Amino acid sequence: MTKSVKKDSFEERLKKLEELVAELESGEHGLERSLETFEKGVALAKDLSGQLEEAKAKVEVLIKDQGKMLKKAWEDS
Amino acid sequence: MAKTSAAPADGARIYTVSEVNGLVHDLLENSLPEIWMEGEVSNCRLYPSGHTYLTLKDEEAQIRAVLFKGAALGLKFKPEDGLKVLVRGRASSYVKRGDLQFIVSWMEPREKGALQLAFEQLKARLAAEGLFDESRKKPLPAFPACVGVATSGQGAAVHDMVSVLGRRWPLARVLIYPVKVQGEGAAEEIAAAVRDFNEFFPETDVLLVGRGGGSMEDLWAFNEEILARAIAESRIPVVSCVGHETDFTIADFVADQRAPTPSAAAELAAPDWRAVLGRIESQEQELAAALREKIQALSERLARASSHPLLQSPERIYEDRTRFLDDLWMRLEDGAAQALLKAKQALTLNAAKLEAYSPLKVLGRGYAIAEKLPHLEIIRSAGQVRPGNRLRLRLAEGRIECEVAMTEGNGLPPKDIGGKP
Repeated sequence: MTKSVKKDSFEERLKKLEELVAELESGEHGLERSLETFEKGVALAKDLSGQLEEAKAKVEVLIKDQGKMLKKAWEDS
Repeated sequence: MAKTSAAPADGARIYTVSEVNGLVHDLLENSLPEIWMEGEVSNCRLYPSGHTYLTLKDEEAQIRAVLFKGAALGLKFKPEDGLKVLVRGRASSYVKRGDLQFIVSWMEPREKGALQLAFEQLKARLAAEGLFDESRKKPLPAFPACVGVATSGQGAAVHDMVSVLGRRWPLARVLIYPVKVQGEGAAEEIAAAVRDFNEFFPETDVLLVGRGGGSMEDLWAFNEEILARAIAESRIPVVSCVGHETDFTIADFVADQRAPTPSAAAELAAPDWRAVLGRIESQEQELAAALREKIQALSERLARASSHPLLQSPERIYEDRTRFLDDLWMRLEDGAAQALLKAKQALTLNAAKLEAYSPLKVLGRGYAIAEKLPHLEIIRSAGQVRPGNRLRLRLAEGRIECEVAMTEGNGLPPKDIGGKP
């Protein structure tokens, strides 16, 4: 069985970005920490939007063969 | 023959019960071919053997009937009491008991279609089990990384779903599980696909199950219990999408979400990446705004602080401090001088007193101190000495040793006799 370790999924990283925004907006921290938060946030946002812009859907077809699942690329007719 | 004799005529055959029952059975089976009959179902009961025993009746009469397991399997619905049905079958008898019974080979409801009835029956049964409860519904993931699709490998449905998914959310991996969506074994195949996704691809975030539109018969697989069960058991959230807008299937009721069409299901399952991008960009802008605000707040604080008079001319701090120190120093010096003066005065005074009280000064005026030898007791009274005692006189200058010649005084014996008795 495939292990589904969804470390740093898109959703988690987007959530992290939102947390960074909230932290910065709270204004609780000093300038240095705020700058750090800002930089982290911007890098994360760039990373996320880059991922969105570059993504290309991967479509596969499943074929069950004697109890085993095989995958092959999908060719849309 | 006129006489009703108690004894059988000569040569008359005597039948056994079994023989009679057998004859009746054969007679019925041979003389009555398969016929159609209509009636209302009552006393209907399904036995563990899979056979269903029931009574069919009209206003005047009734007949026992049986629907054997094999025939029952061919029916979509289940006979139930009160149902008006049209049956095909033959009259027969149960040899062991001699009961007349009608063997049903086919049955259909009289007042509505068999499929409609089957649908209603299954829907009622599964609803009673709680399979459609809102509390069972799983939420769909906001950003699926893997989308499973179980539908026909051909046709518009799969094409629509793939293209909508790819256009809206290209981050997702799409797994297509081609299945038969109508006809014999379709429900089983779709149900197996749902189970396989759960077993082999548990990382699937959402599962789309459906097909394009068709007649009720075409869509029937999605009304089968086996598929309803598979969907209900799925740990992966299922979006059903069967047929057109208005077609509702059992699969729709049991699925976590129902979409009216396959493309709608794909839209439901996947966010629009442009909207998400917009969300990220607005987060980015908020970051910048928050930082700007932070800097603004800090520079305001700085401005406020630096407008303070001390910061305007910082030397004032030193002026004040210097003044304070000078002041302290002066106070210290004053204090010290006064203390010294006081000490001097006290010293002068004490020296004068000391001089005044000095015994040498008294001796200088002509007095002498008489001391009795050998112990040098100071003599203050004549009674302290007797004639013959030796004395030493201390003068301002030098001393004299001498002897007491006589004593004169109050005559009383001295109170304080330092010498021995």
